[in-house]
Amino acid sequence: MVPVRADEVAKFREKLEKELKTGVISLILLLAVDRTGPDYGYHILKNVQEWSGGRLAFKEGTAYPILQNLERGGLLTSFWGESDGGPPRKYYQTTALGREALQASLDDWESLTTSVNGILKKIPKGGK
Amino acid sequence: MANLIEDYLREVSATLRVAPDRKRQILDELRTHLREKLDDERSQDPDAPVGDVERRVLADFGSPRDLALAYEPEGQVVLKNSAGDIVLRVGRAVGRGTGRVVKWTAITLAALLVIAIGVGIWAFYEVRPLVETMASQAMPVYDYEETCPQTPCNGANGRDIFFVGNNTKEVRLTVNVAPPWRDEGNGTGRVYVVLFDPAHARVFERNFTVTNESSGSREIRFASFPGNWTVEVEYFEFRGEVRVEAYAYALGWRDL
Repeated sequence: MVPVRADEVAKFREKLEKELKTGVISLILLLAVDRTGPDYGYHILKNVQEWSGGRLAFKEGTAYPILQNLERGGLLTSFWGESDGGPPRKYYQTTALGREALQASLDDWESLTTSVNGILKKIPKGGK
Repeated sequence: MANLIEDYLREVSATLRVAPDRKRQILDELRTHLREKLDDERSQDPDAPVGDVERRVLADFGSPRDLALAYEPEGQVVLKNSAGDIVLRVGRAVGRGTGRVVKWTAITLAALLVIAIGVGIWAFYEVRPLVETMASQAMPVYDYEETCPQTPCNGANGRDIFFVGNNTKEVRLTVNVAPPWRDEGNGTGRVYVVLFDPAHARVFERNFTVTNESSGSREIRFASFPGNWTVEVEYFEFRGEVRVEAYAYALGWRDL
């Protein structure tokens, strides 16, 4: 039997996690902006971390290109506003298109997680 | 305090391939986040060294290169020769080329201006006397010579017109009435000369008489008016041969 290399397992986990998170973080950010917006990046991320109980770990910087992509896709709009004595902040809020896309995506997510959870429950345990 | 943050943002900026105004907005947004988080972290852990807190904040934020690449149009896929990249490269090259053209054009114009000023100063001191000398040279504008016997000059008259240009300051008219050969002079007579300026004003009139003892001669000077001047001559009491000469000169450059 070929011994399992821990670094290869970690590499696979990292790759899968990255693929899963890419779409999930977009959805979470769109949801967070829709529920609390207009809101700015740092505060959106603080909310996400709080709501996830610190379990959804990702590099904070990656949120900003995703916010930009959502804005470029017309799902978010932004404006620069004042902060409490600090430099101006960029505030995001959902557009009508963003709200409609969010609802559809949440439905898809519900369907996907239900399906995946069903598979995980019914699939035979263990392995060779 | 925020040196590490600014270093981090410089690294992002070096990799970020977007238009300059867009880049500035991205960096402003990232800077706001990092500073707010730094302030929050420091308020929760005021005893921690600032550098340590900064490093922790930046570690949570992720690699600057990965972050910059994530701003690429295709997300995390880097298109080395994307259309946007080519446009930016061409824009930078054109900008540099335009800058060089503008710089060397300005230098050339400045050099030409300096040369022109130098030539102007040289001309003022060196050429002006030459021009003044040339201007002081009388330019002939009228020339009349006639040797008249008693007939047909006696009682005759004539009228001539000569032109004086804009830049003349003075007209000199010389009239000389004498026998053609003084040593053999036996002619006598009288010539009546009238000069009109271009406005037809009578500026001069005089009788020139030649006798057996003397000839009539005179140079008359007038301030110049540009235009056509008129000389009228009338012959009286001629006996024998009398020579009549009239010359007009213009002296120029009234504005020097």
